[in-house]
Amino acid sequence: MADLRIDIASEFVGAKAFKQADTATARLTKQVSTLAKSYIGLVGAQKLARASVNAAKAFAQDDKAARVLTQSLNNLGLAFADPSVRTFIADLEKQFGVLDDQLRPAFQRLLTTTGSVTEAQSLLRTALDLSAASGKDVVSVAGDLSKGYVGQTRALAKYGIGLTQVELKAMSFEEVQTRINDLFGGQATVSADTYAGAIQRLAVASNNAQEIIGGGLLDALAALGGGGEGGLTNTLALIEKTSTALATFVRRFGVGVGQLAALARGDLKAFRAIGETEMNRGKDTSGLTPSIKAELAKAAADKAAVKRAKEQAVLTKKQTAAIKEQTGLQKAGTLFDIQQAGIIAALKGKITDEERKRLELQLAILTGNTSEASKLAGELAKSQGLSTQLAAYLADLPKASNPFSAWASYLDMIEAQARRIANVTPVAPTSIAGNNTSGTFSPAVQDMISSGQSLSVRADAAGNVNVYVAGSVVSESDLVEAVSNGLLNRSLSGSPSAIGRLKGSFAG
Amino acid sequence: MPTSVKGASNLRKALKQFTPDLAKETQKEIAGFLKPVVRNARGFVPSNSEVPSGWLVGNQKGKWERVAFDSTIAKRGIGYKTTPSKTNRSGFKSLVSILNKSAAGAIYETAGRKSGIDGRFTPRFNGSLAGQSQKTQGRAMFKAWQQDQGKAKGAVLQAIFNSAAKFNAQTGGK
Repeated sequence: MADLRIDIASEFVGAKAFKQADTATARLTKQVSTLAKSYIGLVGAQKLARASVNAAKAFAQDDKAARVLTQSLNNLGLAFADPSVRTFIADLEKQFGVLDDQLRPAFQRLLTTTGSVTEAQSLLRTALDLSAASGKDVVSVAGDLSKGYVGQTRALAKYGIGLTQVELKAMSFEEVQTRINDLFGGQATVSADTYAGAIQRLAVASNNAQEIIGGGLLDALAALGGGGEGGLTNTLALIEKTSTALATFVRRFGVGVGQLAALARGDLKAFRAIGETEMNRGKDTSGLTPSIKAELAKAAADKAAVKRAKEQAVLTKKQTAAIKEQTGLQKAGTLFDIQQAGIIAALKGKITDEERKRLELQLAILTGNTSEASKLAGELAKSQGLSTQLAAYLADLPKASNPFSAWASYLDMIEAQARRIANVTPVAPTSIAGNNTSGTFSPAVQDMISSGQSLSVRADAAGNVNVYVAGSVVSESDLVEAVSNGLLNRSLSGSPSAIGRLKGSFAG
Repeated sequence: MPTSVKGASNLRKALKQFTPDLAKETQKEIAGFLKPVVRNARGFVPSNSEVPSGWLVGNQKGKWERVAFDSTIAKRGIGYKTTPSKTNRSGFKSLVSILNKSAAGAIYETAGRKSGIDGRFTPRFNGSLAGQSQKTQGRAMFKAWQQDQGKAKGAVLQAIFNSAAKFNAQTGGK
């Protein structure tokens, strides 16, 4: 806790921080001044270095082009012509102010097409004239001439040589070249003699000077590294080391300035932090042993790999699905295209409502009428839903029984009865009450019948039973018919089969 | 707000070096002006029976033990200083000051400055905070300083100027 105090008198003596700030500012000013001087020197050095690098690069490119051309000559068995080709290209460069960077590729192209140094040289001269007349670069013109040499004369028509495609095809290349030379011969020379040509030649000279300087610089660098084949490599290594040292110096200088600024602010924490950061630069501050760190890194890498593989799999799956979907749509589209005419024709025919809806839906999809398609799809779905419901209802109905299924057994039984009856031998009726021949029962029996009492018939001691039958005895066929009718009436008088008939669900 | 006296440190050094007697005399003179204020301030410090019993030394344990109240210590913590302090961050050096150094005394002095006299602790201190601005409000030292109404301050400054004049007179300076 800060002391509670009442200051009665005090004196301003200036803060320590102010003195520090003064010192720091003075130092900073001095260092900035030094830095500015260094910077100016550095800029100059940088420009020189850049120019040197450009020169070296130009030399390297030129050297590369020359080597490529030499190799082409070697491949064509024309290695003996290499010195003359070099001289030829150098002369052309000086004469027409066209860089050898362009002449070499053009010549190489013509050489590989014609296979003859003389032909290539002749064509290159033609190409230079044509290039000067048309304003196109010599490499493109040489390319077109190469094509024309092998019969592809279409590209030559654009140079306005006054020949139609038919004429170009009909003429030989020699004739075409003669025509071009007649039309554009000397254009390159004239162009080189103009002010523009002079500037171009100056540029060529400058370029050549750059290449020469670059070559010298590379030789010098090689010599600096001890000369020979490894000389340049040694120099490059030295440059790398020097660059690293310079980078370290610049970085530490910045750290120093940052620390001074922090000191000027009185921020000792920042001062210390900047210093520690620089000291720990490149050091592992995680506190892990290298083996554990390597394990952790490996685990993280594995995890990342698994994650990437999963993502890749998902992506592939999505792409496959998309392709499949697209293919399906294309296929469906093709089908619809083929069927479109058929759909229209079918709509004109006599079809059911559901079929009509289907056809209209297909047509709507084909014509891209989305609203109509949506509407029809809904209706179709509804219709299909109703049909399905009806089918389900019918399927759930109970199976109707055959009302005549029981007739066979009945008829068999009737036949058996009729057969049994037919086999019965008639017996002469006898009175059950003594000699009563009146055809009626005795009064006692009649009373019993009329009173509804059960009739008990007992046989006599001899076992004879006398039955008197009133009315007439019918024939067998009449009896069968009567019994059949009776059974029929019975079967139609409320039995389950009768209900089945009323419901109208007879099977078969 | 302290009064800035230009050259006071150099004067003090010069007094000590060239006129030690005058230096001692000046110190005594300044102390004479400050002692009544300090005595008055100590008088405002309550006795042990007047503060909440839980705050007393012996009833506070742990980290609060350091700030426990004891009337004697709190009174002894109030004093004055006539020697220059270290230069603070702003570059000022205090030449003469009155202090309330003890933790309990500081609590008694300043409790309620920010949050107001509220709760169960600060209302039990007798009287409100004396002083105008928040940083100069208090119950003991600041109250005594306010009651002094600047007399001590004027006297101290006058003593410094007088000693400067005497020094110049003795040494032949301007």
